[in-house]
Amino acid sequence: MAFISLVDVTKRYGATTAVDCVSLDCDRGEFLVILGPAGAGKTSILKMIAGIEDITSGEIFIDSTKINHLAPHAIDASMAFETYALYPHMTVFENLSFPLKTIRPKWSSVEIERRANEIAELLGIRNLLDRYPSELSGGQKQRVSLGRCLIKDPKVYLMDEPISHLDAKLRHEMRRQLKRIKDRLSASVIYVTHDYMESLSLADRIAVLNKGKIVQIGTPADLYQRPANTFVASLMGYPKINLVEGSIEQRKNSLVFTSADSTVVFSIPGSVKATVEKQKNNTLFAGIRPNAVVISQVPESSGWNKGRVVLNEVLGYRNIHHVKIGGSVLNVISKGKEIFDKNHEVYVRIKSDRVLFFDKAGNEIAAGGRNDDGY
Amino acid sequence: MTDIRYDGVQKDYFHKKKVLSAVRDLNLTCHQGEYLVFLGPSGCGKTTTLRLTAGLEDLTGGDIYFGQTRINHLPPADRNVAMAFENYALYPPLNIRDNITYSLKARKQNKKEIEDRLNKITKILEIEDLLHKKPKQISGGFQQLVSLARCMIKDADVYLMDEPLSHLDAEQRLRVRKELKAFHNKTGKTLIYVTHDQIEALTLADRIAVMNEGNLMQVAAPDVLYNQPQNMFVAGFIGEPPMNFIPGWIHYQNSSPYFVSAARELKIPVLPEVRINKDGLGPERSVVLGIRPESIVIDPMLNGASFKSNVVVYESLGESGIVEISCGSHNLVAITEAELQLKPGDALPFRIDTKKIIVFDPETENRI
Repeated sequence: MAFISLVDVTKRYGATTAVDCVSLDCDRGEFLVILGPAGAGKTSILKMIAGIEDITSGEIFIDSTKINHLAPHAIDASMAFETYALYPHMTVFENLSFPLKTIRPKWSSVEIERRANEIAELLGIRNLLDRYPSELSGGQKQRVSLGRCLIKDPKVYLMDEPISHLDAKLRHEMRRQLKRIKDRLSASVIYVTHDYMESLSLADRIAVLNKGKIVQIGTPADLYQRPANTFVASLMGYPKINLVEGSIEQRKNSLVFTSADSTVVFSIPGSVKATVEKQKNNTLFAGIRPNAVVISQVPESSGWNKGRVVLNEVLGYRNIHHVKIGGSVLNVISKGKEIFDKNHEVYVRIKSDRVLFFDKAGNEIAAGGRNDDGY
Repeated sequence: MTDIRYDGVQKDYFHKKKVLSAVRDLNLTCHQGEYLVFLGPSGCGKTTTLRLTAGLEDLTGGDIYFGQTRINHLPPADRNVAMAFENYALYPPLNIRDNITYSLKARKQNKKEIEDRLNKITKILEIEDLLHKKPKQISGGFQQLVSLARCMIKDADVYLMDEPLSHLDAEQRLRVRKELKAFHNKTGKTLIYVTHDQIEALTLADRIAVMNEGNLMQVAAPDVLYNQPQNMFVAGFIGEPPMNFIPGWIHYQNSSPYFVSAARELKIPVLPEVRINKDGLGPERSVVLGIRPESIVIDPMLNGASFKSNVVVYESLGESGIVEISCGSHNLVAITEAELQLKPGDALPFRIDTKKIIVFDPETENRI
């Protein structure tokens, strides 16, 4: 049995089912990320493992012990909360060191202070140790909450969106910091987030959750390259993958994908021809990542689709153009100086070897595969 | 109603006999109809500035003008502003419908008109199914949308929004961002918006005012902030991942200026457009070089004029990888091709695209 095991776990709040018969394993020392949108049931799963939420049905085991009816303090886990949950009447130092006070045999005050300072240093909050939570900003509170979680050495760390409220600069630093400390932690980590970058960067495996159900479990590379369906594909990437509805047609010597209004057209690469050809008479979706489209002022050869810019967003060195082609709007990432204004006429080429194909129900049927010209 | 002008605005808090200045001598004009975003790290004073504008806090010093009118002592209700709060501030006993329409009913507006506006706004924000619920029965993200709806439903001169998307998930954020932009385009009203999220700032703002520790660091259009940051704070705060800073000095070789890093691991030519400046770059002047992660070009096949480094941390992110490398005593962050499967310790040569380097003064932290 895996180190942490959820077997058919369900959580209901009144008539609402938050977690719907979830089975999930996390190995010893594994960093498992639960990724999903708001309301997917991610936090409910964490709270049940921590023992602070009752389990409606199913079983949870940690290190072969069934924990369904154990009190929170009897479960050797520490949790970082999205809502911080700091004690308002305690200073940052007291909040941080609080979990250490329950350790038996007792730690000396010198040991406690050394450990609290070490963690505060790691998270860049040493200058805040004397402050009270009411004197901290949201981002600072979040770091204290994370520090309080990391200060002990439990069997399991449970982290609920621990860096989501930080600004980009801090979030990048903290993500790399977590990645660095991750290898030093012998405990298992279950980490909840709605941010796909955090999941790709940190996870050994990712479990994608939607409406209380697990949609796909796999390594970051699995999920990015072979998402099980359009839901997972849409979660992985910013801006999200373009989904164009259309069908497969034989045109002269080549097999092409064409959107319903015949405006987005590209030829099917050899690697997926056999699989895609079987869908010839069916509606399907082409999943085109924004970085798998090239944009240009002029068509550089045949096979370019004509469109019109409806919006451009400049995000530092990356530009995101929203290009309307017939009835479809494609988001296109480009780098460098070429920025096209609204209403500008442009041409785009779809890198067909990077297109993912989904059937009408949204399930993946083929992936262009090679990812060798990505950013 | 015309511009909003902050004239030497100061806000101090007193705590344990110490003065904490949340906003220091702020001088800034937000133009009529402008989408102005206050951006900065937590605790920089951006929310305080918004609350001063709304009349929810008293000024310690300076003046705020709406057009020609000094509004320092004008009660919030008389400023004709609408505000969305980060912590929602909903009335718990009222249902969502009443929370949103409360202010309009208090002003005795026409019932039909209230209903029309309610329908329109709740449809845009996709909360029309929640109207009969109480705040406690809906998630934090939805409560935030209700707070935003309550702000947008008003017919105000100025809209003030404090981190209105912070509790939404990625998908909702993207959708509501588009609606906010459309709302601003349609109404043409002044909108002042506070966020710590640079993507929101870069995509929404006409101009961004970057704040740090109560000080206004720079105010400019999004692309100007990114390409011509005035100081190290702005340069480091805008851009994902953040800009690298390397301390060193300017060294001349055959009358061409070079940047040499502190421990001499890096020697980089400084381009003419960087050196032509009123301050000039005299020899042996100590400087800090700013290099964006996208300007550090990682190429395992690279040889010749390149630098050596070792991988510290590698993050594979699907569409782009981020790698922290150590080069002598410096740690640098770079963006890489996704499929480089790098491990800590791997040797990794790189080169620097010198076109976009920026030189800063180590003392003032200002751009030279």
